[in-house]
Amino acid sequence: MPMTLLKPHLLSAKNRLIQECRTRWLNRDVIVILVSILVMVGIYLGTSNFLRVVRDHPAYDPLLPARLLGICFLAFFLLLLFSNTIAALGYLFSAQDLPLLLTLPIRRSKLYFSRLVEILLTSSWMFLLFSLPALFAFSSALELPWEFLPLSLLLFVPFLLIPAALGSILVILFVNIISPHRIRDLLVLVAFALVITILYLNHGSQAYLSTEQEKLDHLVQFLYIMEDPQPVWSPAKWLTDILAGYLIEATPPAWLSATLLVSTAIGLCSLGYLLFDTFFQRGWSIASNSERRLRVYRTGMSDTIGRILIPFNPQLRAICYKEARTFIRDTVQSLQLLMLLMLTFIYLYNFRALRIASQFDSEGLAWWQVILSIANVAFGACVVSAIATRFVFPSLSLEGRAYILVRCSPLSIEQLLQNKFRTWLLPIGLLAIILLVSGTWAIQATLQTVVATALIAIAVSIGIVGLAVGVGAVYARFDWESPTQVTASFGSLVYMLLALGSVITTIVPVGFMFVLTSVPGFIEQMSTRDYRLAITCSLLLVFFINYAVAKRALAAGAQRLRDMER
Amino acid sequence: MIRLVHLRKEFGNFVAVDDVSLEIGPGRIFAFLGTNGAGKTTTIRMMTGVLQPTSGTAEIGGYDIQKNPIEAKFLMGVIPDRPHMYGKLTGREFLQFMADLYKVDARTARSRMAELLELYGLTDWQHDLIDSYSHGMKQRLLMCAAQVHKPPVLIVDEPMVGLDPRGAKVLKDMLRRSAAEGLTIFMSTHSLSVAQEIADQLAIIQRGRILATGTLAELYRHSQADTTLDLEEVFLRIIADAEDGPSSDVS
Repeated sequence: MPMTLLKPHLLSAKNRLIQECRTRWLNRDVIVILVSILVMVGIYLGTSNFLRVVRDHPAYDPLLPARLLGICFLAFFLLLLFSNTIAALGYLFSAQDLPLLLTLPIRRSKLYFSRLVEILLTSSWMFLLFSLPALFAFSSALELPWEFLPLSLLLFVPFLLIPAALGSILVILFVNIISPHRIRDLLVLVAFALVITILYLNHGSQAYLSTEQEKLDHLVQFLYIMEDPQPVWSPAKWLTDILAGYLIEATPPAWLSATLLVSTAIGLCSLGYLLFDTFFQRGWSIASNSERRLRVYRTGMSDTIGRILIPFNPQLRAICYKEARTFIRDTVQSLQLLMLLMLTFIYLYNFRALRIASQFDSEGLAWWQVILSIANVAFGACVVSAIATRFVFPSLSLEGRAYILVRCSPLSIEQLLQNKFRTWLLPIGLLAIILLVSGTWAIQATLQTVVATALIAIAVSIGIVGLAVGVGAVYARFDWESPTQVTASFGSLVYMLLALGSVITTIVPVGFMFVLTSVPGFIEQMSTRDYRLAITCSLLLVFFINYAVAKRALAAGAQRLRDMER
Repeated sequence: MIRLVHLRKEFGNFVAVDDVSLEIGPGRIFAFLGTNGAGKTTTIRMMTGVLQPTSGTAEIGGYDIQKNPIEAKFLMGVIPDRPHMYGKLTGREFLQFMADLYKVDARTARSRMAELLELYGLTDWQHDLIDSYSHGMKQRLLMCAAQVHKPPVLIVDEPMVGLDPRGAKVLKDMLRRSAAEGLTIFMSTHSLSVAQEIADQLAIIQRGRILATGTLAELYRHSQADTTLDLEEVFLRIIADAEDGPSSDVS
């Protein structure tokens, strides 16, 4: 029966693919598959090359790849828990097909497990896309036994099931304990508590690192001296322990870890089902009743925003207002925002750890500052892109079936995309400025670098937001059942890859500019006029690259939307 | 006000709308009748600029919807067949959103919104989220949204779906009154009784082709039906004739 419930989704996907293939051979889906293959090949080549370099290093210890694997699994586990919880909220309580399914003679167990599979697939496909080629690389570069790969794949099943079941459990409990509109308030408290806990835990490891920083002359050594960040109760630790048996000789088979992994997955799925069976009806009633007469009272903030927006074009004002209100009132979006802000905060906090100025002479320090400033822009832009993937990329699809109302209004497709772009540019631009400038502050950069970084943040935001709106339009899907389907789609992966490409292209003039502003040798060889000209040209190039990216993406998006009307 | 000339839409090998030509003058209520899948919604989608015709033109107030979409869209209000809106906006916020899209100035929008919300019995619910509205309330809110900019042309796809008797009566009265004030109404419907009650002009479409068009009396004459029969009988007779023989225009 779970298969029966999943069948409509599988058949829809199959029919869509057949229909697209009939229209033209090189359609969107084929391109997506080709891009995915390219990404997997890229990850495979990158990881295997890196592992070969590490293996050939004189200080090589088999513990290193095992630790690397452990760090990756831990990061993936946390991300999976985050995305599974978001997906569970959508699939278990606000999916559009639920009112129909609940009228059908379907057993609760079938409903739960089919939803669990949907949550699992929606949240985990990207993990597989990244981890499968990496595991192949481990297997080939380190010449591991043949059973390493099939065993890894087998172990992925319980490893992926754990965050999916845990996410569903959290959501069932949340919805039953508190009303859906109070979830956001509770999450604020949870987020603050988590930030404080993580800072507290980090404090210990930072202290440890700083005593060992003298040894930090190489990444291999860095990994070697690093503490194992995983607690013993983490499923990522269990998975790492089992696979480490293949990397480190004379390690006893990790039967305990395997038992823990499998039994935890089974236990959590059973617990999830029990909770679903017991509390779903109550939770569904609370969620449905909360939809009754949801009165919204005018607030001072709403009036202030209204006054600020008065001078703008009414159509831009309409889109701005609508986006802001629907965003603020959507629990799923708020949940995502909180979690992402939390991750951003942790990222910034950790970025400070790279400030190891005391080790260098003045020239070395200048170069180190350049590297850190470039890394700050690159990593910061990637974080902003990740945030845009969750909020800006799906903004057009989130118009849903109401898109027809906007299309019937006197607003052209180009104007609609432009207005979406302008609406999102302000918050994303502000976020980028705060993030990147905080990064320069964290690494104690010069004032010139801070100003340059702020301008770069504006330029990068133009590229990222334009790309997100444009690619979001290219991959627009208005008939979603849960908003998570949009953010976890192939389109979002394509957007992330393109955003990464755009950031890498931007880094070239950015790097040149930072070298000019920070390394004394370069400044001394140039006249003031040439220096200013070089800085201005670099900055203009940064703006031009991002403007061109945004313009092209918006044009592609508009073209795609027009094609949909043919 | 509305002029369709040889409108045709193909989806691959399937012809959804075939050579539809119509002309509807100001202040007229036009009912577009047809069975499921006859091509009514596709015709409306082409008229509203949501779908590009394979050939032919649709003009609203003299503007070709493909060549001058913005000008044409300013002249019309559209009520789609399904009331999908932004659930996280309140009714009033949604109306303000639509007023802004149509560039209605703030003062006019305020008075117009108050007037429409009162007319459709939504004043008490204006500050509630649309998510909490019933199907009928959403339908009524869409009626308000389509008229917030006082358009000279109203295009309605299945207007009576989901409305309770009171809502249906309010709508019929409003359509009659607005038509008397000069509003042109293009309405696709399954509800033959509504069409019989309020339409000045009708057309029957089947398999994408117009089978008959004209006033109610002309349709009766065309089908050689007794005037004591209701429109349902006439409709079925015209459809049955079309299955047997070639289509024909009345007017």
